[in-house]
Amino acid sequence: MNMPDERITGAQLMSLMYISRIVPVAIVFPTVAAVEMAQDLWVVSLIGAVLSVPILLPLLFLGLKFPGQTIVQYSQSIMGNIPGKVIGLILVIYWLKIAVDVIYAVGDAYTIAVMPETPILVFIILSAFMGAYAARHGLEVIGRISLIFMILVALVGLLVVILPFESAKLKNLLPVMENGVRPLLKPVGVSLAFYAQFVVIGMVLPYLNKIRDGVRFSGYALLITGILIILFSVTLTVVFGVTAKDLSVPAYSLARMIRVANFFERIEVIVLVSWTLSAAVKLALMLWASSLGLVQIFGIPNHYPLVYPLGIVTVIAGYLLFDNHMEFISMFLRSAPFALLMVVSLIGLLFIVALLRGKLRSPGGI
Amino acid sequence: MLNENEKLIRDSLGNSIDLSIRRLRVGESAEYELLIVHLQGLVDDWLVSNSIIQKATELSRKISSSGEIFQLLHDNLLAVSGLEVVAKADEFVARISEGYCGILVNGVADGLICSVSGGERRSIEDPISEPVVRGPREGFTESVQVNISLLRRRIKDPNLWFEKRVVGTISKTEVVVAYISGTANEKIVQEVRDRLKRIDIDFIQESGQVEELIEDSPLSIFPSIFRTERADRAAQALADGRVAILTDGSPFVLVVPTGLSMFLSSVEDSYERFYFGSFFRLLRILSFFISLTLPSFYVAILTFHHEMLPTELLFSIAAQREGVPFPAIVEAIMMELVFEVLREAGLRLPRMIGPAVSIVGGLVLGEAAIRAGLVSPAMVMVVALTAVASFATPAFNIAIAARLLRFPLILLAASLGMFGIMVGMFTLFVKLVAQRSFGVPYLAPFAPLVLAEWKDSVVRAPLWTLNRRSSLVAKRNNLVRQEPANKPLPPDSINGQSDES
Repeated sequence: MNMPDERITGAQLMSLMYISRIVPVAIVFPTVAAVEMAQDLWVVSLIGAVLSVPILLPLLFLGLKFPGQTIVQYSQSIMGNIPGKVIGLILVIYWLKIAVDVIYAVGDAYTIAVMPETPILVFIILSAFMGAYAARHGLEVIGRISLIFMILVALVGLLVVILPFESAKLKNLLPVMENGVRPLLKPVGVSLAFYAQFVVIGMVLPYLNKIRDGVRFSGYALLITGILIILFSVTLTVVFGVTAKDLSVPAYSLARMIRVANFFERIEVIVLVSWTLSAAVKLALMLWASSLGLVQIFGIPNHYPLVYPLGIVTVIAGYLLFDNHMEFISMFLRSAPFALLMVVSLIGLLFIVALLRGKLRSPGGI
Repeated sequence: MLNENEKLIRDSLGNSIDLSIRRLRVGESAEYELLIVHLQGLVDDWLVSNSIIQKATELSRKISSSGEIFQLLHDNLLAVSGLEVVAKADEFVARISEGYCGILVNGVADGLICSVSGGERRSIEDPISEPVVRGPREGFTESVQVNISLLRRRIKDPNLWFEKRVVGTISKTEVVVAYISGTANEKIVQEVRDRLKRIDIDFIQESGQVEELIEDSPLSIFPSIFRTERADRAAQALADGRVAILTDGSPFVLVVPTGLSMFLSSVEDSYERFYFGSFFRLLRILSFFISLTLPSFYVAILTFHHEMLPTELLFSIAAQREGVPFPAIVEAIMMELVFEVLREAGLRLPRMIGPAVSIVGGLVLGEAAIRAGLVSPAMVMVVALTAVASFATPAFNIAIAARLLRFPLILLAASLGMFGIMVGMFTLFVKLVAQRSFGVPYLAPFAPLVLAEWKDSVVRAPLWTLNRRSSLVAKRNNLVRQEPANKPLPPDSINGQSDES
């Protein structure tokens, strides 16, 4: 399969990972709904960030081992034709599922927080359009816009984390882990399920202009997202205390608390807008990855004509799958462990088989 | 034979009244005939009479053959700088209509073509579309020769090269590609040549028409070719490694490759001290965004997001809007349209009436509209601020892009609030990121992010820190403008002693 002449930089890879991970945190934060006690939230975020490293490492290793090949391609060269294609197809469906989650989350957030009278379909269609429009322009464009939006989102994120200090009560953080470690399992799983979405960089790595940058910059991405999510969890808890758990759009509610000098207030719409922009980038990345994946499975020459049809598929799925916010969140929480398990086992399988076969083919290799 | 040629020339040029054919007899006994052909008004009459006709009449000695006359004329007699020999009749006629003077000798098949271009030209004046407070006042003129000389006077490097190409089957317009060899990226120069070669049209008379035929994104609302009327701007662009395209008959010179940041900068940024330059650049970026989005934000906030305004302001705006019969979007579109009409009207009027239109239109109409309760004062303020902000954009064509995009953004804002504006801006942003100008990304220092180049695009860093040319534009292995550490130092140590001693 010939690669189109597109290249992205390490910093752009970092921004793509950052945005993919921040989007499910920044407005709809399903991990919040998963924790039993809000005080445990930051612990969960910390553990999730640390445990994401072993998911990411084999992925990067495979990317380095098969330069110029996407995960869909090297799963075929590792597992053989048919099993590899099955793995690829599973991944494509997984990415489309993420895309569906993202567009529903956008529509959900807007209908809950800003414009309750507008039908959710409007937001779903328009966000799918934004994602598909960007995906249609290729990875280079997605990478470039994501780097700019990363800066924007990071700035807005810092504002949201720092500025609500007036309403913060530090003693809200206590008691931590009141009921021991067991209740942490489920939320950590949810948090990790989001980190598992990093499997999409298996499609991005071959487009890096310097493949060695991949390791370094994905490390930065993990570090930055981890720190920001932990900070965000802490702020959420100190501001809202135990009630944080019941918020449907936590970051939005957090932004509502901002009130500085009787002037700088009501910036929640800005938060929402910057989050939606990054959601569109994530959507673009997922649509791009799944269309490219489909092409590489079925050997179609060009993936661009697939982007808009896939966008339509996500619109239909997003509209039909969920009825309301509660259903969306609970469905997500129930599916998260399976998604996590699937990604971990797929990566593990590819990694181990590559290790075995690689050793068989070139003694002392790897 | 000469008679046949004369008839041929007269027939080809339709015996036009500006065709001047002078028949001369030369030689000891005037036995040889010459034909001197040119079009009046295109040539320098003084040159034709003194350097050609007078010289030819000096041929009164003994001459053996007509070939010798031709040789004598060609080798030493004609006092013109450009001289060439053409063999074909249609080429001869074509050169005559381009403004050359042609000479035919009876009995010789070839014709001589002398360059004696002249005629009336506009003198070099202030560039009226790009005025500056501080800086050179030379603007390009309609003559490509004058424009070339303007550039050559500013860049005395022998590596400044000009390449000519003729475009337009009827107009035969001279289009000149200028670049500094060794500084400009060869790939871009070659791309310019290729695209000019592809032009196949009958008539060109403005560089804008050339621009439209060689653009990267012909359908994009944002121009992907920069144009300037200022000689210093074009010279600076050449020194940066860009390529200039001069069109005969147009005072606007095209510059490629370009990017949004170039459209938002002015030459003056580099002439005034860097604090001012930086401040004005930031201000222009801000006002560009204002001119693009302010009315749509206003409409979105009034229609959907009242909570974004402080309560007192919201009350005062609501009180103003009490008697206004229209929703915010109708108000906004109406006022914006009125303003666009006013601007267009003021622009096309003779200079004496222009101000009257802006006074009657702007002041009287705005005031009366508020009194009549058609629009709210806040909306008038928003529209006026938008207009002023769009005037702060130095390049006219990019300001028009913002003006046009305002309307779809207002519609989106009125239907979907902030979400609508965001959809519009996101789509626009993707489009701009994907756009290229001769291979160089349009939003270059922002997306792709090249932080090193922010110091001469977002701000204007001190000149002694701008050590390198833009690697996106200039040739990669020749980027050094100056050695680092060029910062001027106070001359404390001139005499090897400090002030205190």
